[in-house]
Amino acid sequence: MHNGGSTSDGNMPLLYEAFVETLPPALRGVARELPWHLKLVADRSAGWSEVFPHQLSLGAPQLFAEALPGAPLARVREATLAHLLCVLEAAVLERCCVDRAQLDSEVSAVLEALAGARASALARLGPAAERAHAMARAETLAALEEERQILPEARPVTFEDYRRITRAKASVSCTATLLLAQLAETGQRESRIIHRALGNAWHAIQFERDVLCWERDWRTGSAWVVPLVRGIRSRRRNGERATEPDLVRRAVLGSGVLEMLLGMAVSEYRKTRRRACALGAERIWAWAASREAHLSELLTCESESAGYVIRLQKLAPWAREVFR
Amino acid sequence: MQTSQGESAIATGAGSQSAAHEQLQALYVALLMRQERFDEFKQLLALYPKPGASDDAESDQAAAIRRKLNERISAWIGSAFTGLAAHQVLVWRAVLIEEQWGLSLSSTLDRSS
Repeated sequence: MHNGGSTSDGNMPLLYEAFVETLPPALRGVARELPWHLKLVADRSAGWSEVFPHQLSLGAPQLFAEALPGAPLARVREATLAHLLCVLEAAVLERCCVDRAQLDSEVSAVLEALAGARASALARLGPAAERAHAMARAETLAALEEERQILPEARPVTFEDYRRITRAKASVSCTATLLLAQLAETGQRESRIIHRALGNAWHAIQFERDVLCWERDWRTGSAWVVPLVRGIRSRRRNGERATEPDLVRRAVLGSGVLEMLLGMAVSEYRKTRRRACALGAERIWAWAASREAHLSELLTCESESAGYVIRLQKLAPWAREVFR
Repeated sequence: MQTSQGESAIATGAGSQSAAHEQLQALYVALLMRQERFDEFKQLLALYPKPGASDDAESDQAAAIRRKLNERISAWIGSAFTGLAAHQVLVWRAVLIEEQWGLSLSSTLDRSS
């Protein structure tokens, strides 16, 4: 799911904590450490904002509410809670499709409660909510299934398929915001812009993340970069298939795929910024503008020296020491 | 006004520390800008043996790898590199090879220890 980059996470921890407080006391500790139990983070005390560093990922309805003057505050809060729980449930689905059987009973009980809370939160957004979510969830699940056919064996994939799967995976991340727009009686044109802006933002976040985390993902059999490189290579010549880590790294750096993905992320952030501007969603505009500027700089450096963005991350502790 | 011997020594010490700091900055940039340097740096760090619990002194093999590493760094940054000390090599090995992110790197700037 989405990761990478940095912004604050607003009041999302409070909303999640409110959900945790509804659980039996024996489950609250597990719920607070859920990202760790699901192996989404290495640090036991890390919260969801470590998994989803962008405020938009967990708080989209709240941020788009700036562009929805007709949305009452209570509705915004309900939609934000529903969105948060939908996104967390999707993260759980993504994680647990592989090893659900290995979850212990307390974690399973928390996940069940999460699904129940998500259903209740959506129901408060009106009768159309559950059906809209069911459709989005089906799209997300199908995309996750398709992803599982590709990533573990790093099967060659085209950029078109990658974009399509990435977009479909994020389907559940659009439902609550679009429902809020409906409740606020937003016009069709604005609703369409919101939908597209969400799509652009999810694409941008995912493309960025897939560049920055590709080596770690490769070690866990979940890197998109390698199937993309194989897709490029299979179009150029048949049969060559690097598997040794060093050869894979060389193939990735030599292919220019990181540069391509960064360019795609910059383009999606730019579209998000423009659409946010058209909507008058200032915070999303500022966030997208800042990400666009940051990634544009990285793109320039990556174009000049392949692998720059990865080295930048690996040398970050060094930079903190020698340039302070 | 003349400075005392003590003040001169402090000034010299501060000067050499500042030069060493600049060299580490230059090394950072050298590694950041070129993948082959980064790979070679990591390769040499990976070869550098971790000392056992009872090892007080750096082994001959480790010293030879560190010497090679320092020669390569001098070539990359284009100036007489004063050299990474054994403890600095171990810290960077832990950060870049073992990926221990929580380490404090302050000691890597302390050239006197």
